Amino acid sequence: MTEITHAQRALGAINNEKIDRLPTYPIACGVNRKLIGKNGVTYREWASDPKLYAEAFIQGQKRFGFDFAIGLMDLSVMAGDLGAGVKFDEENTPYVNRPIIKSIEDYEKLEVPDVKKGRSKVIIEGTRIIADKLNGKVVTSAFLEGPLLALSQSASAERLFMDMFTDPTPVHKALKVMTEFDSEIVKEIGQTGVNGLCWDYLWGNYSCLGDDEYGEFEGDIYAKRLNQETRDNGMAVAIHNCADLPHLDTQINKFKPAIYSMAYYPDIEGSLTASEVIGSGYADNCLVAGNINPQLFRRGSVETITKVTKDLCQEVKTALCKRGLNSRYCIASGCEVPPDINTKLENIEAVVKTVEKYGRLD
Amino acid sequence: MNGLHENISNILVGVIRDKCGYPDAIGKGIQMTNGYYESMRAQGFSYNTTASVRKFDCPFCGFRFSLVYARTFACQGCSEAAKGCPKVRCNECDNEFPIGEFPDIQNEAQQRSIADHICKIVSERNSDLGVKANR
Repeated sequence: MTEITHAQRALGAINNEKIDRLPTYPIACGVNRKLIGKNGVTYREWASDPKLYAEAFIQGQKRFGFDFAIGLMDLSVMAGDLGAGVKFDEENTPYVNRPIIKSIEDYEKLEVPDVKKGRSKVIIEGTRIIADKLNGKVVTSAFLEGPLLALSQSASAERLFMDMFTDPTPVHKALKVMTEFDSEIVKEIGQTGVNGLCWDYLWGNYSCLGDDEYGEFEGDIYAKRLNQETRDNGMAVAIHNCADLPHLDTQINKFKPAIYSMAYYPDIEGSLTASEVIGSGYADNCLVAGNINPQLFRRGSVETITKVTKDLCQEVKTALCKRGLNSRYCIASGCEVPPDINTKLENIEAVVKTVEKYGRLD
Repeated sequence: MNGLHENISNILVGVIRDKCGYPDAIGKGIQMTNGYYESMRAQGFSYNTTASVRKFDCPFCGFRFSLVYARTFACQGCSEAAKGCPKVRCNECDNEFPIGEFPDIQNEAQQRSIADHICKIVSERNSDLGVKANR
């Protein structure tokens, strides 16, 4: 089969077409800041400037030859824009250290901020540049926190879960505001021309919430609306959930995303391998992406990650063949490649090279 | 470096196994920590947060619940819950057992840490809701 472009391969896999090889996208985002300029930029600079944010994805694509570009920043963007305290080290992923919701009344005080300010603006403007520079070369996607995740970041997960059990009414009021906040960003991102929008619906996992709880506090109302708005704004729906035991029946079969990115935890009972996910039919109508252990990019050697990738390619190809599918799996990391200063770029390169060699489908 | 890391993990598993007498659960807990907990930490969730909201099985009746669920209902009104209680009460069978028996808690220091962590949250929430820390 003749060589095709990255974008053709990614689209081909989404549509389950016969393509030259499996697509690949180690979720390398913040780590690509090392490729900017002569000595790279700090995480803080990268996450605060739309041009640098976009440039990292552009340079990452040039260096590694990915099939996708998915603009994951971090999970404190929305909480920070709402006024929560965000600990922002020079080189580490920022995190919320001062939640904005400290009482039941605080849930009802939330207001949608101006999405053209703060780090929402960085994502929107950065996504515009990414779409401008990379559309047609790869499949591009923005990345947003789902409403329940954004609220857990704004209130602390422990506090939110307790209040969900005992005082659901104010929690729902806050979730409506979060959904509006998301909705405003969706409209802006829809104008950037990016191909898709990847949602982080992290709490849809059986380790923390059952079907009823997840349905009530995100799946049945808020996520349903946002998925539709994503499509209405001309973008494909993608979902990332790196939690263990994700709600696959809800998030794949009901939400019907074009792409679903997930992790695999070998020591957690019930965590599905790539072949089990494919064998269970979850890749029948959705491109599933996974599931290399992200820590391997930091701690593993090139030899180790090459072997892991090679084995995953073999497992996936066998499972696709058994299921009668052509190409609906993307060799990816189960979660973001650690943006840590010690992450080894040669390991990212090794994954792509290994998929090029051992992921061939012709 | 990897080999060294694995060796240290194996030694730790062995020590905890010998000390606590949990042959498989503890060993698996350590490996889970290396995977799932690291993923969550990378996204900004502390070990204590993740351990507080994750469900586990009651060793007596098998009921599946989380520490925050227990503190919200079974421990409601118990003064010890706001004083760093190292135990958890099952909502279903009402038995108490040490937090250290969670599969993800590997040593006494972690048990202390998570007990103090959840105590702080319960105290703040009680104060907010005007709940007194006694029945």
